[in-house]
Amino acid sequence: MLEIVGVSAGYGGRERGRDVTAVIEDVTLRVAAGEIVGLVGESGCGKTTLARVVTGLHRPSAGAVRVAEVDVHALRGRALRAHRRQVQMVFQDPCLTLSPRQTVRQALAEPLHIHRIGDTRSRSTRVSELMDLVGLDPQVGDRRPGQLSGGQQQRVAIARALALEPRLLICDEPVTALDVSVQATVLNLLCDLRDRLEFGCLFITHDLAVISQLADRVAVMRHGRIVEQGPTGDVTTRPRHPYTRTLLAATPTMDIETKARSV
Amino acid sequence: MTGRRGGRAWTRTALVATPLILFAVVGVLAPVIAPADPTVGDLTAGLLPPSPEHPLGTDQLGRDQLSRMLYGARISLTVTAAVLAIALTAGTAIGALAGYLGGWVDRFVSRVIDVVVSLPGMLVALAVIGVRGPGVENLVLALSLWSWAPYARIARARVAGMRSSPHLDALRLLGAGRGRIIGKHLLPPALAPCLVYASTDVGMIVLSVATLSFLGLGVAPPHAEWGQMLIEGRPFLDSAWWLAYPPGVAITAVVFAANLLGERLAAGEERPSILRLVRPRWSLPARAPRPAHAAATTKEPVAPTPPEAARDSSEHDAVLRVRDLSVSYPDGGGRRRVVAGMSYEVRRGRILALVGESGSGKTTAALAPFGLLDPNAAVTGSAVLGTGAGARQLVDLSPGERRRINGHRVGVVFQDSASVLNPLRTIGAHVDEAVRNTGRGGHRAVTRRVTEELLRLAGLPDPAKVAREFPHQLSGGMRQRAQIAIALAGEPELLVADEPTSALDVTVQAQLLVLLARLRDELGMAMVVVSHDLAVVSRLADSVAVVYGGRIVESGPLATVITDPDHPYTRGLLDAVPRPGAAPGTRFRTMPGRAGAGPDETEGCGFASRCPLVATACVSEPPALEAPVPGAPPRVDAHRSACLRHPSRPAEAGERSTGPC
Repeated sequence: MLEIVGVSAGYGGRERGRDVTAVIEDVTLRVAAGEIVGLVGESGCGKTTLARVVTGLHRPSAGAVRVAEVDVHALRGRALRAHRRQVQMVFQDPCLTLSPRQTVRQALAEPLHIHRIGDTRSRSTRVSELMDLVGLDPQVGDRRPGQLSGGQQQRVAIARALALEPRLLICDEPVTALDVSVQATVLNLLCDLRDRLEFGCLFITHDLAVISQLADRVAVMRHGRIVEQGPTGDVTTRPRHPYTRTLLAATPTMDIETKARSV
Repeated sequence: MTGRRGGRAWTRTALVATPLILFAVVGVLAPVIAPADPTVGDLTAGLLPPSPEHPLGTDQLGRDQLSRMLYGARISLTVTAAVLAIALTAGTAIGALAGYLGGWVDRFVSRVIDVVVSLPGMLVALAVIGVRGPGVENLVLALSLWSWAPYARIARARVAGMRSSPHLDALRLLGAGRGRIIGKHLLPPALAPCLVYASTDVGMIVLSVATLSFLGLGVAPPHAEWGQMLIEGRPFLDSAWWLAYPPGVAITAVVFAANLLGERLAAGEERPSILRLVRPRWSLPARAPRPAHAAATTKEPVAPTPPEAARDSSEHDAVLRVRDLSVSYPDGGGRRRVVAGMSYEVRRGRILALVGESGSGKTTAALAPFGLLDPNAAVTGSAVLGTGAGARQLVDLSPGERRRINGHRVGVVFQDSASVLNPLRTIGAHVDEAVRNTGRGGHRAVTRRVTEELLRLAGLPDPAKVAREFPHQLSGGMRQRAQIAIALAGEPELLVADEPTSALDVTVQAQLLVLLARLRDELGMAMVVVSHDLAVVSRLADSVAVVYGGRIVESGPLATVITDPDHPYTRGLLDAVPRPGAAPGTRFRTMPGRAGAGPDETEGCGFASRCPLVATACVSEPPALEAPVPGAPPRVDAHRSACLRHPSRPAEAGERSTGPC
């Protein structure tokens, strides 16, 4: 579904064949249909830049990104816009990615309007469906993002990304801003939707714990390079790279038994 | 409810715009309702005072003033509307386009705007009319040419500010084209400040029309026009007041109405600031007792702690003892509680974690004793800091007394270190200030030495260098350490940390948790840590209070609460924590429904609607926070849970701890 081959990207233009500020270097990664691949790394390691390259918002300086055999960065104009139906993204901060002046229902109808799907009534039905899908109370339909909680905002963002039934979903730290209990429902939701709609999912996070229960495969990124990738079980139980081990040790878990100190 | 409120807002908007609407209607109907022809005079009836025949008197040429006023409205407002429509449309479109496209288009348009804005407007108008001759069309053209630029500037600034915003990226990913992004998502927010400006512009344009008319360059003299009437009436201000006052009042009324209207439109459903001045908000004083109706509808589900129970808890080393803490905010006509009857305490060298979902009231409960809430918040109950002679009641302290506590005896660390620190001051300056506030400073060098010590204590490796740096030069983890250093300046007995690690990477978070634990152990500090993450808390806390819907539903020593949770909500929270080693795709066990309402919105248990073990009694009977096992001492720091299943039904206890939840 998604193939990232030897991608490098950076900011500030290029000089003498190299990026002025290289952020990611030579990243190769694949996501199959119906597969969730976790991309783990700390802030500043280039995860978000990779997401922007994959979605076509940022142009790589080398390498290619192919979604369903089509090179994303070779498309222009109408073809690109049509292609974008297949790749959707859920951003880190839902508060910033929702238009502040649109109500929830308007925000969810927006992709349908853009792609001229359905008439007023069928759009309204679809919007209600989407709200139900992500567990939003029908009452919040007329509220604006500023009047919603963080969890509700992220649900709206997810519902909007799913409105076009994409084949690839990029999630950039979608649950970082959420409560643990809300996070669990959102992660379940993503799992369910993946099973039903068979989309591939690149799930970007800094939290190995979140990804270990969700992803089929995990790639660990550091300083713009992927240092380790493999099936989730192997990476979390038999990490080979020292950085992966550091991440695992830092991940908060509930194993109270190993805690030396207690009251 | 919202519909009615929206309706009322619209009624008020219409009310505000009344003068504008009135004159517009009157202007349109002028030929029908005017008693006389405004241009035909009767020289024998000149300068007559108001009378039944001429309600507003006559002017020096004997023309009926009322008719002239009505026709004047027609001309003034038509010209103004035309100018505004052209200037607003052209200005906003040009500005929005320049702001969105950026690059050389933006630079070019910005220069043009600068030039137009700096030109004297009247001169431009005179030049245009000088070339094209007088007349209403040329007047409109001249004034439009002069007044589009500010709109373009406002729209450009607004759009340029939003150009790189993530929500536009999100729209691009949805496949939205340029036209839709500009038209639907950039123009409306850009239009709002333009409308406000337009409202102030109305007065300018009305006056400019009048001035140009007076100079013989606008509306020709026999036709009535407000500004022209004003200027014509000026020589007779002493003898015939009815000439200048009515047009003056009309202009003022129109300008004022337009101002209010613009502000209302811009603010959407929010109350515009100027209206707040006109009609002060009807609110209760912040510390008023709870209104009777709230008290009547509120059952107190948490049984008041028996006084002897409160006393026999180890009072000698409780740094903070909170009893029956309630916080309410004004809501509609009454007040709405967000924290109800919470009791907690934290002892020296211990860390208490308040855990709950966002909106549960955990942060409010943690900050309320220190007066760190919105001024509208009313705090009741008791919160005692310290013991013996140093004990202080924190609720209802005066601001002066509070300053002697906050920063001295209590340090606070907030979640968002980027917004807590002033971006224009160095880290050293921040900590210096805190040190001086607590009286530990002295000469600059002495203060700085204390500062560096504090930064080292907060685990910053090179304090001298960090002190010279600005907040944006530090990583999130280092900023959070700097915040901790500031909080430690007063050598506090108690540190309150609101989600101290939530915005950080796991590795940085782990280091910070180690730091907090070290501070507790080395300095013997008490801490209240607010968090939504039980996993984080389990690395740090000694005791836990689980907060749901503004109440504590379970509290006790960390190990007990986590290994043997009693309340179904606590179990739900524990189930939501990811477990490494689970097979990929394993579903989390989640709680149905949505995070709770306020403490007074349900009759019984607030969690009943989501609870897997709900019984009929739960809906009507509020549970008390009490020991899950009968016979345990009713201490505030012992394991307690607010669930109706115990102790009346102890038989289920065995099944409960192993059964699925």
